[in-house]
Amino acid sequence: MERMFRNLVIASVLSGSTCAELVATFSQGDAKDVRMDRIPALSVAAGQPPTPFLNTGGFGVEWIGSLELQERRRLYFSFEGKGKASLSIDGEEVLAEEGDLGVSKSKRLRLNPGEHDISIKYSSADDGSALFRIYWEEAGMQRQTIPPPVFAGERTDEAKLGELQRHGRMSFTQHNCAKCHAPEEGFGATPMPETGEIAPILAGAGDRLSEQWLREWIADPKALKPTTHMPGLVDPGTAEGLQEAADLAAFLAAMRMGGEALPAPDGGLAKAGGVHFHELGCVACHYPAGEEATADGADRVPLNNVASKYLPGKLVAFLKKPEAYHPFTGMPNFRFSEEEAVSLAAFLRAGSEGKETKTGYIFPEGDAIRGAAISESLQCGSCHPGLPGGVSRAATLDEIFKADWLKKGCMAEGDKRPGLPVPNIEESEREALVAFSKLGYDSLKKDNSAEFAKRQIDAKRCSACHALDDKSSLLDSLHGTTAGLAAHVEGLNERVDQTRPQLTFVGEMLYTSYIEAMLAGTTKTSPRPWLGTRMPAFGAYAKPLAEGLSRVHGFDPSTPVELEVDPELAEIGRTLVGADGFGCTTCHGIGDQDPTAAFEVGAVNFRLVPQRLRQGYFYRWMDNPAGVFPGSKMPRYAEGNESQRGDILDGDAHKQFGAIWHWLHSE
Amino acid sequence: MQRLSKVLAVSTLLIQPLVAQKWYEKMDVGPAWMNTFGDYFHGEKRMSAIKGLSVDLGEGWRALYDTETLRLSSVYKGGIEWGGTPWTGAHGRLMTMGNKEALLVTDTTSGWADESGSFDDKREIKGHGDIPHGALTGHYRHGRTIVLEYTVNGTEVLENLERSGETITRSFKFGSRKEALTLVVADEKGAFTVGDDMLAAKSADGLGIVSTGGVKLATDPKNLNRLLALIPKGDGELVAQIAIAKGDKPTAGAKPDFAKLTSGGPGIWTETITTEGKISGNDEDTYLTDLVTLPTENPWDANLRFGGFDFIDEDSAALSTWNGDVWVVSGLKGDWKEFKWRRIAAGLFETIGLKVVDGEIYVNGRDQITKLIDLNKDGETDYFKVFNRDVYISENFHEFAFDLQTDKEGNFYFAKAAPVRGGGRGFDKILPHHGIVAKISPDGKKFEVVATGIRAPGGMGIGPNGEITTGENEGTWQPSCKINYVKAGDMPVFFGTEDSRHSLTSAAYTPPLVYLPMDVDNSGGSQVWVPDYAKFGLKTDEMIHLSYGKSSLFRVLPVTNNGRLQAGAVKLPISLQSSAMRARFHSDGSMYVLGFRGWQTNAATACAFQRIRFNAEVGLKLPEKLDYTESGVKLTFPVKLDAELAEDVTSYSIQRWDYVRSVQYGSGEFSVDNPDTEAMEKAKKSESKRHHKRDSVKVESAKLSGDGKTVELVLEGMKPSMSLKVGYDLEDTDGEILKSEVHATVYGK
Repeated sequence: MERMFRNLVIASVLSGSTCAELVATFSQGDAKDVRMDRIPALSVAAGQPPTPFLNTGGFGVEWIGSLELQERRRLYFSFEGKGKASLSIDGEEVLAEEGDLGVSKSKRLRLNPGEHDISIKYSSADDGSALFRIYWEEAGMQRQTIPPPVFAGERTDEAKLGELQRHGRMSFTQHNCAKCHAPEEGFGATPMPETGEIAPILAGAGDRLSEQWLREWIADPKALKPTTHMPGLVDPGTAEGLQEAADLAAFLAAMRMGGEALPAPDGGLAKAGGVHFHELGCVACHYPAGEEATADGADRVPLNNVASKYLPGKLVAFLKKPEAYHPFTGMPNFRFSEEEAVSLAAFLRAGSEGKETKTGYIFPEGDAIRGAAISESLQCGSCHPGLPGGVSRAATLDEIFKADWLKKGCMAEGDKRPGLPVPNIEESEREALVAFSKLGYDSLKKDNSAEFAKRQIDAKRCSACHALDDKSSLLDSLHGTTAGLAAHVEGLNERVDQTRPQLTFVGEMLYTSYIEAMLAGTTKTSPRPWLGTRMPAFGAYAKPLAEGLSRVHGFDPSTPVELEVDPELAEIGRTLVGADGFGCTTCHGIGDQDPTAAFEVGAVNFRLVPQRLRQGYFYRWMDNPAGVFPGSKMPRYAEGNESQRGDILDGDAHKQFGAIWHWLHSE
Repeated sequence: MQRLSKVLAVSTLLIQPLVAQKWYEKMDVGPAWMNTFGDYFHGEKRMSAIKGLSVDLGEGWRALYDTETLRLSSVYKGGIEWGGTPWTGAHGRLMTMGNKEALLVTDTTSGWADESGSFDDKREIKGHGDIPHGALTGHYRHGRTIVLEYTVNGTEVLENLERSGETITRSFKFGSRKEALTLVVADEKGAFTVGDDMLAAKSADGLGIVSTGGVKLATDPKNLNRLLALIPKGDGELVAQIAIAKGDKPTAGAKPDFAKLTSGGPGIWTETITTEGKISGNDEDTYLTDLVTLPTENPWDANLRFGGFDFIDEDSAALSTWNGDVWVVSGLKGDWKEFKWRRIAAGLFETIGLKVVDGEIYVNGRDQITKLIDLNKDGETDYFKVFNRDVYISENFHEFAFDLQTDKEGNFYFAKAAPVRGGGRGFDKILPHHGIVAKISPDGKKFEVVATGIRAPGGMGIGPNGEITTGENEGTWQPSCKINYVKAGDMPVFFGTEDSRHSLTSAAYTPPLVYLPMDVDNSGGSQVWVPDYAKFGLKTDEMIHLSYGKSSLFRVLPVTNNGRLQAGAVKLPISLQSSAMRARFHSDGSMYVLGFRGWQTNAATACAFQRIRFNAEVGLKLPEKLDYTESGVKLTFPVKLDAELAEDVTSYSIQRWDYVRSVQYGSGEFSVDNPDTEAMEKAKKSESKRHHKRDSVKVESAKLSGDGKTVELVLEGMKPSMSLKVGYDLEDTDGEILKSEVHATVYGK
């Protein structure tokens, strides 16, 4: 799904352009690894390598690039964390600390608008554990995380190579290369998580998939789904290849587990399903059935083959629990109600009938027995659970990493790999894979949590729905294209603002446990119930992804903190949030108590705060909401720590926000 | 144990309600309450009275009049299903009478027959406005007794409704009647039977009616369930009564003394509440903010979110609230040790505009402008005289009537919002006065629309030469907040909201003086012009714009460029405790600012009334002049600037961008230098507020004038843009940092 997305990323990596990231050079003894970081922050647990291309143990890192300031600033800088750190601005060291970081801050620096060279050096503890964050502040702005778009870095050749190798490594796992080319001694106890991914489970394929679609799919998978990782395994240009596709399809169609034939959903429900399709923002990841998949960089999955793919009535079960058929699918679990699943299935089916991809292939009659033999021969079971497996006959991983991938093997040009699967890759991805191949596969035996999160943000298309840094989401630009599906629904225009939360500071904002619950789909209450869209579950990686998202921002995994509430402060906080104070309750509900007059925007229920928000972020948010989330309608109540309520706690905004924090936890 | 005690303490804390629960149920709104009310008609919920007046009959009994159709809609004993934004905060849910079990209800026709005998709705817009053959002219309050005053078919009528036990008596005093009048008494589920003498009737459901004074009762020939009262024609005055109760032949109460009831009565809010002002002890700031402490603790539990005010004299001011109160505070002239507050009126309809003319108080509510008259000079209003009620309104929750101002000729003005739907997008049914600026003649008789295309203005202003300005909020057809402006001779004018364009079908859109981005002003208020007696650090006839959403005030710097007026706005260094909705200059040269929190704002308190004093010792060092040149901008300061910084191009941060005005809610920010036409087209079809592409404009040179006060910036291209942000970071020659930003709009030829 994310292949073209990634191709664009690769293309940008290869370009020499400046990007809103810093060049991060990691060193460990004589070893070096370079990558691009949008946030100069680290959280590495002892026993985890700082990057997948280095080992565990002590390391150093230097972030180099520039600060891009739009106007003159008079700034102080400071650190948090543990280790040894220093900061240089425009070639002058302005801050250096060792041990517990954050004790001091830099002198005030008057920085004119424009670019300022920045170098941040950090050394971990000897055991490789690391914790580091950097902040800035100035008069009128309390201590804040430096927003990622402020950073800019010129991609060096080393950085380009490092990023290319990373993309190659990810691509290698996405194409399931190691399923056929198995490592001789496995990947060890802490492998790169994606090495464990599998392709769709095909047990019972015949209960849900049409034989005709299977033929077409096997013959030419990328014609039906341009972003697929399924390689070409037969040659549809030959009669033999078409026969093999037909035989394999017959074999798979015969793989039944006793599932009952079900009638297609009532077509009359399609209209309601269209409303759900629009409301849930499905267009962020899918081309609607009537829309041609184009190379627009969006890499959405076309839906024109839904009716031809699924047997009548079988799409509903997939929609309700996609991970049951493909544990690592990009399709998340929306926790659909029966009505939603059935009407969506009706909509998708009605919309795609007669619109299936016309490959033009004419298939002979298939033979299931021959198909079984072909499946065994092609080792389909290596990737697809539910099919007979066996010991791979392909070269081992150890062997292929000794070879030149451009000269032979699956990645080589067509005439250099007769009879081998044809991976669905373009030249840029091939280049990344080859770059990765030069490093050996040691990096597949380990991983770094933050890098895992960065990869999965791409793989799971998080930015399709969420803004990240200064980039708006794909859905923002596409959602209007499906508005007609819900135009008949009264009241849609009368809802509060439907903007989804940004991802920019997610790991700093939320406790890891809460992110995990959101990803796992186990939260009981939606924090933003006013949204027509909803956060679906990406259950397979909930825990490691949540951990990685925290570590990207330089925070160790966390759970809500037990706060011993000061009743006096809580009482002050109660006053401040209520109608006699800042009036927060105008927009924020408290448990069952609705907001008193929410209009245009919704706000998260206060009862959820203790399980969601980290304290540091809370203060940051309260100080200047629009500074954290541009365009936020959350009012600002203080400037320079001077609260508009000068009559409470000496007008000290930080103290007032602290009182609110106590009140929020006073349950 | 310590831990337990803390937990207990905290638990106790939580038991206390966070938001004042149902304060509106406790608030005494007085015996007459004007609002939009729904009610139940034979069990079916309906919109009954868009301009309603509810009379408190005591012991839980209420009567509801629809003052547009002059119809007694219902009399019942029971509660209220609370709604209405100023009360419950709810958006869209109406205030509804809990009259499912009513003594009396009437159907939604005219309350009186016209000269042809018809009760049909013959209004130009059915369901809205006064009926053609009658109109409310005011109401009197005598103690807790209410007398309505209206005309029907040319006859002057006074009506009083009283309750005795479970009997209701409607008492009338009619002026001379050229023809008989016919009144709807009741609409029952079952038929009425009328006695032979036509002086008594009873419905099948058991409602008994008796009339006196020669008034005859009769069923409607077309509808036997409807009882009518026939008032004979006659030259002289006539006092008559209709008694209503369950059972046979109710007895009418004593005849009221209408002369007494309409000449002023005993006060019902006689307590004076004293508060002490808070004078700023800070002498370091340019502007010092003093707080007029409000009588928030009062015997009537009145919620005091003041949204309109004016000075009566140098010592006192009148203030009106969102919930319909009017108060007078005195003691402004003294040492602020003792303010005396009097509640002079209550029960008005969302009064967020007030103007004092020749010592007389006029308040602007959603339903009408009311002149408050104290007949017996006891400090309370006895006569709520209708000054003008031509405005068409609907039940929409958002169509507030903002502000009340006058021009030099004595004309009144207010800005009427359009009926924004819940959620802020789009509009409910548009009536002719939705989204307009209204002008009312000094005698109150002529209502004129001088501007259309308004969405949610927040407030307005009248300039020294009759200029009209309004605020405006981002929303449908409004790409961002802005300051509308029109010269006296250029009206009527269209300000951009197509849904409220009205008759100006071919008028071009009049763009504002200046667009203001959401992080600068997300909800506008009034504009106020600096008078010649002001001591405020600004020049005479300068404009100040109020931001309700950001609780801020802006100095507006006019620029005449390419033959048209445009402007920049720079924030004044003034800190407020609540929002900035209204402002007026006191005769002592200070400015008072009033604001409350009713919708989105960063106001830190529910309401504040503050005096802003200019501290001449510190002085104001904001730009006092903005000019556009062919190649850039010029900023003039009141002080000499540090030359090195002033001529350092990095001391300036310039951005420009455009908006897309469309049916979508608000607008993103679009590059001027590299127009993204595709994105701008898309912005017309779907919301674009996440699109932020401001151009960073290079400052090619900065030159300081000979007197050291004006900097001329040459920009890399000076071109029209809806927003031009000029940030500066300078120092004066004494080393004091001057740092702020001017938000301007640049129009082409």
